Amino acid sequence: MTAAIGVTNRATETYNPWLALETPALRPAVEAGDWGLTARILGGLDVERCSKAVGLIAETDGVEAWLIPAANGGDLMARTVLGARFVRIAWLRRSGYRAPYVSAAQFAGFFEALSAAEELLTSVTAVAPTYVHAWEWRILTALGLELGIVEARRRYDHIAALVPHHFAAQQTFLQHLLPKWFGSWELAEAFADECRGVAPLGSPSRALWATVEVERWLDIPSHRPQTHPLGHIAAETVSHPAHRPGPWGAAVHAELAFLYSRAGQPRSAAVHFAALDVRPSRNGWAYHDRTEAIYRKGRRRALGRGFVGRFGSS
Amino acid sequence: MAGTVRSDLSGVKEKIAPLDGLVTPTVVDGVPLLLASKTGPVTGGICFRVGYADEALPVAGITHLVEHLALHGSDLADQHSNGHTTEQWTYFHATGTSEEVVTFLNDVCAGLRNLPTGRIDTEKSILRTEASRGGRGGIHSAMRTWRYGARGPGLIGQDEEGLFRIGAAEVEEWARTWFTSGNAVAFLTLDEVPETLSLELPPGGRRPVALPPETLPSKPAWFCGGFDGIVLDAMVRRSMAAHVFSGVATRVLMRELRRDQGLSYDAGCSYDRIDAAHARLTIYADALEEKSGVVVSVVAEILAGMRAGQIDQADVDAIRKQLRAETDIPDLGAAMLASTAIGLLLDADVFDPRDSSELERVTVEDVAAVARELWSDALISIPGGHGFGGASRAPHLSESAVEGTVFASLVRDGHELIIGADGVSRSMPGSVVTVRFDALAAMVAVPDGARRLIAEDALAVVVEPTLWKGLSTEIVKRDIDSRVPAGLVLPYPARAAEVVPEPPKRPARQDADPSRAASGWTGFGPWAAWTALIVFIAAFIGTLPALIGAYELMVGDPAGEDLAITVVWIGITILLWILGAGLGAGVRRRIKLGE
Repeated sequence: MTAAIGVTNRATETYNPWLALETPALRPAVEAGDWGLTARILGGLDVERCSKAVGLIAETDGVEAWLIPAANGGDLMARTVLGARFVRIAWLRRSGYRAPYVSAAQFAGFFEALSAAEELLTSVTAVAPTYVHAWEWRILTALGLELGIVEARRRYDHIAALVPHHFAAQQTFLQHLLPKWFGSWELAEAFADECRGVAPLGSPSRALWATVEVERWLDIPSHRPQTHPLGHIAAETVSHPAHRPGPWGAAVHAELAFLYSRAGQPRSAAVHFAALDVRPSRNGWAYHDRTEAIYRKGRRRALGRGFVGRFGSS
Repeated sequence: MAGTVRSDLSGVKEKIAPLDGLVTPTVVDGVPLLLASKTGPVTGGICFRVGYADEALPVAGITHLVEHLALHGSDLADQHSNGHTTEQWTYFHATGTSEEVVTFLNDVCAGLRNLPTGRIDTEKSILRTEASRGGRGGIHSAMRTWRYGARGPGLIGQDEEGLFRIGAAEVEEWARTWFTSGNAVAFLTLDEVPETLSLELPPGGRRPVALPPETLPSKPAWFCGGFDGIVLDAMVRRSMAAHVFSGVATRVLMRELRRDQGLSYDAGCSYDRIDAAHARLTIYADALEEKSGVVVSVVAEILAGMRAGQIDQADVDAIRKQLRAETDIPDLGAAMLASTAIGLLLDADVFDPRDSSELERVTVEDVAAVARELWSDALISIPGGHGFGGASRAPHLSESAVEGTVFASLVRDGHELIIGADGVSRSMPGSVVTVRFDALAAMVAVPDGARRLIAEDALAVVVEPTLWKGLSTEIVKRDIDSRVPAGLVLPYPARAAEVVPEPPKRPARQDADPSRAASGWTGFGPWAAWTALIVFIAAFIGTLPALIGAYELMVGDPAGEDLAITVVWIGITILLWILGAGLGAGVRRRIKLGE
């Protein structure tokens, strides 16, 4: 079992996370190594889709080759995406396993790549303090470099002041608050409550409790996911009329589908699998080594075989 | 460390020509003397271009010792006179009436000419007390050691090791070599040279600053300094822009860390002259432990911004105003004397403080260029965590071990001491520390055979003959001592017997194996299985008679001897069963653990 941060979200024939962006031109631009076009597309995306897009580019092998020249030219977005890429490289070097199973050499490579990422991202936030995307990745560098919860919170607060309900930043900051890093279940739940308390109805930020529950399932082998709050969570987030679908909403659907599946309630999971349709998200599921196979199995049990053919078909 | 002889005053005159009208140079007994009058009490001093950075580890502390001995004749109960030994210079100063100051300077020079070497032991113990009170050490010492190892400025991070061994002859030789008329500059806040002033010193020339090579393979570099905050230093070219940078950085750090966020009590940037061409910029910010990650990050952001040219013109203007104000004081010449004297010793260019044209020319871009220069040479102490963005880790281990005889640790499995022709290594699983004889700074030697070998890069290996299998004092003497030059040995006094570490009574434990550590059965040998078997057989054989005896007790009419035998028999049998069961459980557990 691996931690989600270390897992690459590579697109496969049947699984294509780029679809959630609804920006078909981005993936070819990235695969062609065309920074000019990539930058123009990113510039046209909203915060939510841009956040997701930066993460997907960072998970694409070899992008650093053409990002480095662009970053050296001083382009803030190029420096941010390259910083994000270095963070992913850091976790690939580390592996997603818990600290006792990571070798000294793996840790050395991890810290080296994180240090490079932190320098790039700091250089962006130093000259452009309102640059949300660089701050988002700095929450993750703070995690790996073990700068402490207080510093991670300062970084998150920078984002919250600019984009009040930044679900991806909340999920990353939540990692700091988990027992497996530097926190406790109480701290994690308190943060989930805090985010829920200030987010409007329909916002994915009201669903962080589900993320905590996924983590509890991961951390405590005997833990059977609690499902009774999930209906309420769905009702005030992804199923609420005010909800605007997007990558963050997909993440919530995926987590709810995951928790219902793990609790042995495929019927309840069905609505979320159906909502994900051809744009699955790996949130939660990535904690399984065979992410895609487990996802397909869960989906088949919830929706029946009829849906399998449509999976990733568009 | 050989210096060039430059005791002619013409050089000094030329050098301080920009201070014409403020400071008057003259010469007394071959020592350059700077004069500038002021109202109020008289201050005078004499500075020498020698500091602890000029020492080597085997004589570390010798300059400080000379300073103390030279002051012995002065009345130190008077709080207005004192001496200081710093990295690159040593100076003596006093404030009082003209006669008192002249007497002080005369006494110091007389003391240096003729050191009261009979007091060496007393002064050594005073110095050791001073060191134990925190005179050395701390984060700034660590900064020097991580940059220079156990050499030059890095010696501040070592104990004054030489104090155990330095004798009268060495102290006198040191004073004759370094505390000379040509390597001194004196000053007095008077118009004229007092007739009674005598600065007679051994002859000798100016000794230039000589820095040893650094131990850092790449910069910027970081290390964990055990200080809840951040310290970052770098050597930069001396310039007005670097001066302004330190002022601007201090303003920004105080504003961001103290005023706006209340994260630090003390934060700023200092500028210290090192030699003719270089100065050290030191950025520092303290922090509460829980806020240290924040302080480190905010400092990183501030410096990254400054490198990118994010410098507020208003800050530069404010520093200009502040620097101008510093020179707008009465008795400016007198106020500059000590600093000018030290500047001359460091062979630094002297600037006219009344001329601010260079200050006015400093631009925001000049300050940003200093920020980039600072970054390219930076050494950073962080409180914890695993790095500082863009910096590599300063080496804290050796790359390889020497080849030689391997001694296994009697304390920890997998730890080895290797003694070879080239040096000594201490290896642990996954890491090694090596001290090579050709890069040895000094070796502490205790009569019982214990040794501490300190390398030029300040890595050290401790050899305790009692803690390594097969090692003895004889082997230490034969294979280590014979390869260490006598000049690098620091003989320590004998240790009390109870301080010598004793080898563990049991064989080494396998600390790294958690199943073993958790089982609680370490030291439980294979004889246990045989014992358990024998006890079981004995118990089985004893059970039948015991049962018969018990039956007889219940149904029969036993008396006297029979009763006693039966009760004892039953008792022994029960005991054997309990013992056998206990041993058997232990054996089963060991089998389960696969041992």
